[in-house]
Amino acid sequence: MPRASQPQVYLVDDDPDVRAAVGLLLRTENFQVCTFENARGLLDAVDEQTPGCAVLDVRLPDMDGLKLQREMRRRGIRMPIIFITGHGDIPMAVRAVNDGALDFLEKPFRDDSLIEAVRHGLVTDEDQRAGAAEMMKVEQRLATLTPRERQVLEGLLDGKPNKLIAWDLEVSVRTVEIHRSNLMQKMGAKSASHLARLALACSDFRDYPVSG
Amino acid sequence: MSTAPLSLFRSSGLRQEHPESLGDWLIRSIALIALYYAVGLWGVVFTPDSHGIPLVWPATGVGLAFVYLYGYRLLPALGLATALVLWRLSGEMMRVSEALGVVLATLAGVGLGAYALRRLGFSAGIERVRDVVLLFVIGGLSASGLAAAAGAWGVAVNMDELRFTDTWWLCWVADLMGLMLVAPVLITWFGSSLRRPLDVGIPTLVALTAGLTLVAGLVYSGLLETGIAMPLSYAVFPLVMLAALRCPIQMTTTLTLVAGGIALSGTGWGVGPFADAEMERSLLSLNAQLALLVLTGLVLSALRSERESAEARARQHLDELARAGRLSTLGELSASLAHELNQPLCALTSYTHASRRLLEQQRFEALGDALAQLDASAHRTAETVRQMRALASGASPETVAIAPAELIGSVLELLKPDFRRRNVRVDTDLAESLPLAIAAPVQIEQVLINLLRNAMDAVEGRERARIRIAVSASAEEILIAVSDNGTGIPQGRLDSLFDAFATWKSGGIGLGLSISRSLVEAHGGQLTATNLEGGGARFSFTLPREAHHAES
Repeated sequence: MPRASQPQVYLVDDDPDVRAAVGLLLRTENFQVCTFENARGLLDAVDEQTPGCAVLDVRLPDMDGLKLQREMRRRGIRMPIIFITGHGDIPMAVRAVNDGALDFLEKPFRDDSLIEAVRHGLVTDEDQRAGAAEMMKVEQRLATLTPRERQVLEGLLDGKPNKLIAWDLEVSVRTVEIHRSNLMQKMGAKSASHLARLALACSDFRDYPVSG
Repeated sequence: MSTAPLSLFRSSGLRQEHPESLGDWLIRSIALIALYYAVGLWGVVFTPDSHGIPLVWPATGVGLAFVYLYGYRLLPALGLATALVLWRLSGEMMRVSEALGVVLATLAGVGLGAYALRRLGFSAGIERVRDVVLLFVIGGLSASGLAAAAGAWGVAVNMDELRFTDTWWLCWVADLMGLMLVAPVLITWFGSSLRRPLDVGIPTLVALTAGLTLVAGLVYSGLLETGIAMPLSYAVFPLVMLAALRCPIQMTTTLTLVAGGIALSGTGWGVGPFADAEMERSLLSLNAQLALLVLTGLVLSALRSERESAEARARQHLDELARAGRLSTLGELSASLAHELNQPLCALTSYTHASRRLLEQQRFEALGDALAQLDASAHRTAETVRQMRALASGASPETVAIAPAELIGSVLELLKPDFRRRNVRVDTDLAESLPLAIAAPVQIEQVLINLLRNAMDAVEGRERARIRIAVSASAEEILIAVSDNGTGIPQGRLDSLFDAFATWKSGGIGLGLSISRSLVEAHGGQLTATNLEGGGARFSFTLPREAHHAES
């Protein structure tokens, strides 16, 4: 039985034979597989938290695969998508990959290529998830800063020395030094450059104009 | 006319593909001089005694036709011919300088006319009304205009009592009339090819020519009273119109020349309906009639050519469309064949790959299951291929007379597990005492299965899902309708629903709706789809019914 925490392969194809056969193939590689015959079934089963990757037929009864991909992205479901098609439609493959699909396989495919693609998909998903979790942690820490500490952080990201920050904020250099050591501690930064890296990875500071 | 001497005159001057040999040039020049001189002498017949101006002057038309057809290298011959005719007409009365002026003006007029015709894209086949207009406007403006000026000047010099403008007007009418009669004949015979096959047989052509000659000959024989001959003179119009509508353009131009030649000759010699008044008046009114005759013939013929080429273009366009239609159907079919085969192939290869892995993992029980599934899948694929072959062979189905209830009953029995599993209620609504349907049961069952499967998919997940099968009969056919209360057909898919590419579900039925429609149409019926008001869709098809001999 699927558990939410366990990465799954979500297989959507309207042909029951293909569903059964490809599902069996993936299970022989010990992947957890969930199958659906249409887009609606998949959308009902997954959300942005669900780990795993999707294997979609391009032509589905209720929604074409590319639309399904867009709908998943719209809902914040970022799991990697591998398309499979019986039509050999090159323009469609190009569009799918441009829209962010991980891979595009033509039916009938070699078992290795599908299994390789699925494995790659699951690893990619894990990496994405780990990165997102890390970022979340930093953002949580960033939220604990006092307004003053935040101002000092901004000054540091601007490349200003303590003296100049003290001048700007009209406080003593000593006060700036205290704020600075506090915020380093709160952010779990080992050095000034580590601090800058952490801060810039966050959405608040991603587009921050770094000078000097 | 035999074609051997004609081939010499096939215009090469129009398209300078083959350089004209000296011999050709010589022969054409001599022909031009001979013809010009002959029609010049003929024109003399129509010269009233009161003044020396011929009332019809076909020589300019001959010159224009020859120079247009064979090029400006014939201009010297034209000059020589003009001089010869002048010498024959005026003798020693004309000074050399004056004669030279007349010759040069004629050459300039004809040369300019031929240049304009070539430059403005006049077509020697006179296939467009535009060609008719071009010929007479250019002929009237340049060739006849300048030649008439020359002629008028030549005459005025000789006869002091005539004013130049009057003379010019008379000469212009004479020149233009001559041009209208002879130029089209020469240009169409030698400048364009006779269209083959002829629309009418040779006997018709002979009869038409004989009829026209007879009528014209009778009218201008002087045997009839003017009161009868005058209206009868219009009898040539229907004959020329008939020729214009039925015969090649060459026939039309020749007939008008024959009619005009007879009329002019008769009137010139003082016989026929137009010969009563003095020659000038009579010939002018005859000229008006002949001009109308020529225009009628040429314009009708041109209109007919225009219509025919428009029709040919339309036909070609239709052919192309039909071919494109066939091609796109073929393209769709091959695309959907690729899909239909790739789906089961994908399943088969996946089962095979899985089996190999299970074997490596020594999971024999699972391997046995996988192989059984592979076998079943392979058989389903074979069934699909068989169905496609049956469809492609286009063999008309072997039909029997069968009760609609029987068809529906067997299908419902087959699908009962699916209905139960998907929790769908199925109602049947059969009209009382239905006639038998003429159908190939297996094929119509396939159609029904396909429609019912589609309906099941449409109501999937819906509370109180219902499918209704209704059968009714009209005088000619039986109507079977499958309706559901599902999602309906999405807007925009209704049109392409039956296209080979637009299969919704493939669950073992083959090409889905596309095949279903082909099967129904092979029975002589029709498969249609509509969305129902209040949700859901209805697919209905007709089948021929057994002849209702019982009632009659």
